Amino acid sequence: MSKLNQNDANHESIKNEIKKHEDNLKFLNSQSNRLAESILDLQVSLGRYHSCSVITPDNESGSSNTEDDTAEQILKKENSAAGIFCWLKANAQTSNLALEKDAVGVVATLARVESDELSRILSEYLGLQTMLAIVCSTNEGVNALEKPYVGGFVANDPQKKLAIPKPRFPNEECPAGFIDYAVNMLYLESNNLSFVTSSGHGLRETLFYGLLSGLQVYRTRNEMMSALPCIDEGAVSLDGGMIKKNGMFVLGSRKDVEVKFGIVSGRSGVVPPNYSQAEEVVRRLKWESTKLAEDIQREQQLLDHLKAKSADKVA
Amino acid sequence: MKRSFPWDEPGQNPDSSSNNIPLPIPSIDLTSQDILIRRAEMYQEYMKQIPIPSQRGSVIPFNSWMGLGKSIKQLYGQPLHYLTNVILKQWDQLRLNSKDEYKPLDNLIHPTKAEATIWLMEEVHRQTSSHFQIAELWKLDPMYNCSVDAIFPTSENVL
Repeated sequence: MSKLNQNDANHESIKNEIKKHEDNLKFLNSQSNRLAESILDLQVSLGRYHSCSVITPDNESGSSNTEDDTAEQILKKENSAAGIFCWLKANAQTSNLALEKDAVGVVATLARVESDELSRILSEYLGLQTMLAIVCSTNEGVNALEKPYVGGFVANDPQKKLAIPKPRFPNEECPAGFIDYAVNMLYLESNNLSFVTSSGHGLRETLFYGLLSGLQVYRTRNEMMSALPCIDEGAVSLDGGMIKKNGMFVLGSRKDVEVKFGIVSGRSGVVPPNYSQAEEVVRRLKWESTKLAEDIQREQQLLDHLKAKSADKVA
Repeated sequence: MKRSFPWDEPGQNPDSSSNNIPLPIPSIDLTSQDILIRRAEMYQEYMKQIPIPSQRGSVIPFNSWMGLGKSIKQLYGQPLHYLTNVILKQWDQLRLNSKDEYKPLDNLIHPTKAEATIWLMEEVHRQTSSHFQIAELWKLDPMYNCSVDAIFPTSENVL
């Protein structure tokens, strides 16, 4: 008799657990719907602004030429994945292919720099294979770093640069000719600054920190050589000098670089101050949405497991 | 309590704000205490049910704590707890600008010891954490989801 009661009690307890998880799922789904509504509202407002705003090609910076140059350089590499990717993107019939949802872009197109010298030396440092690599937004792609960036960011910086302490000699002086870290000298579009990876990070602290780490940029070769005691992770100079991360020196004349980063000149936008803030909020809410979906998956797994257990007991 | 959004902050420059486009305030507040507590409860219940692997064979080379965490997740097909991921990140942060920052980490700490330490921490976090305390930490860390691992495809059979 008592064994039957025990079985009943167990069965009742499992039934209650199942109900709890079903309620949790209802709650999560309702949160998910509200989030989707908020995202849609914001997108509609931003879309309305677009349809009645006036951004003519003349208002844009003169950077579009060099972006096209980069795209042309990539297309010349006909047999590369990057070449095919860019070709697919450029054609209306193929630009919506599924691969685009996961592919962020070709490395060479994901950043711009301020000068031709910097573009050459960085593109040479990274090498053609890296410049042509296609970046994907899955964990294995952008997050595959040996040593992830765990430091802070420069406060109130629209470009979200990394707060890496300047190199210093033992006497605390900064080496002459040091300009900045290469990773901070890249200009990224706002949609690549945050919420690109599944962990919510932007490309600077993930992809570009992974490729460049603490690579230092100097004005001249001589100044770079004088700063050797301060150089831990490689350095380049604007006049073509290069110290690779493994310590190898490349001091000769520059090679022709086949694919380079585009150049950014002074940007002149007529976008309202809160526009890019709103865009970032949309990206953030979309990211929160994927996290909520993961909560739903976890809860569903618990529910399925319980239902299987309950079915076993009945059988 | 609704989270404020950048376009309705009081400190905005009146000149620039007159050029701002009208934007809706999102109706959902993901940082409300009730929502956080409920989500933390679900999360903790899930993590508590994942068994700690008993068979551990290989020695995993590593150059950072977060790197070791990632290798462990891939090798055993399991997520690690939010609290564990946070500690691994802190340990990596603690190395910044240290004298041995560029020495391979597995030269300083033996990989077997490192992995065993992570599993011990993980067991403590899975078995003994209160979801109320986790919700408090999440309240202070709006980007807490950075350190919450997604479900693993192979962990469908983990429970």
